[in-house]
Amino acid sequence: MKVLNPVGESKFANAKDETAARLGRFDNKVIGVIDDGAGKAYFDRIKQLFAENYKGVQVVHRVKPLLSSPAPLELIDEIAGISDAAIVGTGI
Amino acid sequence: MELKSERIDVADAWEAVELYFERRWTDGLAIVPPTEERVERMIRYSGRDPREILGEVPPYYGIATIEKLAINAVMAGCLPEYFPVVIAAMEAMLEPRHNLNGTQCTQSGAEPLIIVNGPIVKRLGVNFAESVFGRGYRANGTIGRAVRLALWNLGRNFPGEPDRSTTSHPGSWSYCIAEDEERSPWEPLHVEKGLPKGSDAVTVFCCEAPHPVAVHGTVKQVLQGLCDAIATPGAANYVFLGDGAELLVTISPLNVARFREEGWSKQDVKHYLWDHSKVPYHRIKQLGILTAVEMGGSDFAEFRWPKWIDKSDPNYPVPATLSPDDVHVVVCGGNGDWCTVCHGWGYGGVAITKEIKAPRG
Repeated sequence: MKVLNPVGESKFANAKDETAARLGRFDNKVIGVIDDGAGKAYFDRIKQLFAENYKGVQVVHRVKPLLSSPAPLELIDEIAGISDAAIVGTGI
Repeated sequence: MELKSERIDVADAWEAVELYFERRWTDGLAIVPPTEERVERMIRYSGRDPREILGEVPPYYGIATIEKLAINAVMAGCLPEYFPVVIAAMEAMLEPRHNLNGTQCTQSGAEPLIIVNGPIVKRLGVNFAESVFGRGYRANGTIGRAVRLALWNLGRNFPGEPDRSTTSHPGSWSYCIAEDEERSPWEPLHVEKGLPKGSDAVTVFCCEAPHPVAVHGTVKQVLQGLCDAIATPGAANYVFLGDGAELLVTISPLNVARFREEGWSKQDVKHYLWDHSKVPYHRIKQLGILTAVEMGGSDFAEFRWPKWIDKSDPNYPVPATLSPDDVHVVVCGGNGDWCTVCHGWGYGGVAITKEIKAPRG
């Protein structure tokens, strides 16, 4: 007999499972942060670590409108457009 | 009928069941093999187009077509007559305000509960009496299961992967009840939510497992028992208090008779529950969860809670929800004293009500 596949098609099905090229060092780089809203203390500490360990690092910090929903596409595009690397917080 | 899904050849039903386990197309329970014939029968009953798209189910964003939903409904063991309920439940969960991405992935233990209302309850035999949250009824078991399999196969929220639920609860297998509208002294849940009397509806609300509470006596005795059960400082609603914090209370028909005798309206009940289940601020703060490092270290009481909560007062009475309107009351259960409290997630999974569309044609 024939049975049917229950899995939905997704635009992410063929997403490449590979990482971007590594930066090497963070000196003089722009680091984008998409904070889920719960991460102020966490990201404050990350900014401090960048400042202590690398020269000329600029951290651009944005907060998602809602902690547990994906960031709006405009926010992702903004961060992707200006950053050399990004740190993204997940929900709870 | 032209179905688009991949077909797989199997020797027999047992091989099909094993295949679905191997391919991670089921979440741990055996399934009914979804043959073309069974899926077509399911879709044909609904009168919907198999290519119709309801939305994309996070976090995988698998496209929820009527065809894919029907495949999962067959797998769950649904009768075709149950399929319009399954469709309405999926429509409800895909409403942006419900925040399905959050409920699919949250660390909390809340899972989507389906509450069925209207004449369809008796027509399909959806249980609202003894063991209402439990087993024994095909409609409850398979409708709930169809929704869970659809979330699994379309959303791909596997435990420990996108789904970070620390504990989950058994409702993640199937979580479906109906309201006992006949024995309730009040308007049914779906009418309260704006649908016409006599219509069929589902309400989907993401909540914890039901906490049974033994209460008996006057209305105030019953309500106070429920308030004491609600007032759990570690409940997500208190910790994440804000827009999206909602609560469900079920009252048994035995106990609700007294409400009718004493003339309590549903609004009276919601207000009483909201007002008498507040927890002193210091009891929530002392849990340490508000500023847990693994949660980002921010203080939820600072960035999430409403500003009218006075955090300078350690005894400030913190409510479980922003207003009594966010407390849902449903009459169901057997002829016993047990009522239940089902806390919401706190951050969404809010109750969304959708009319069940009658089969077309």
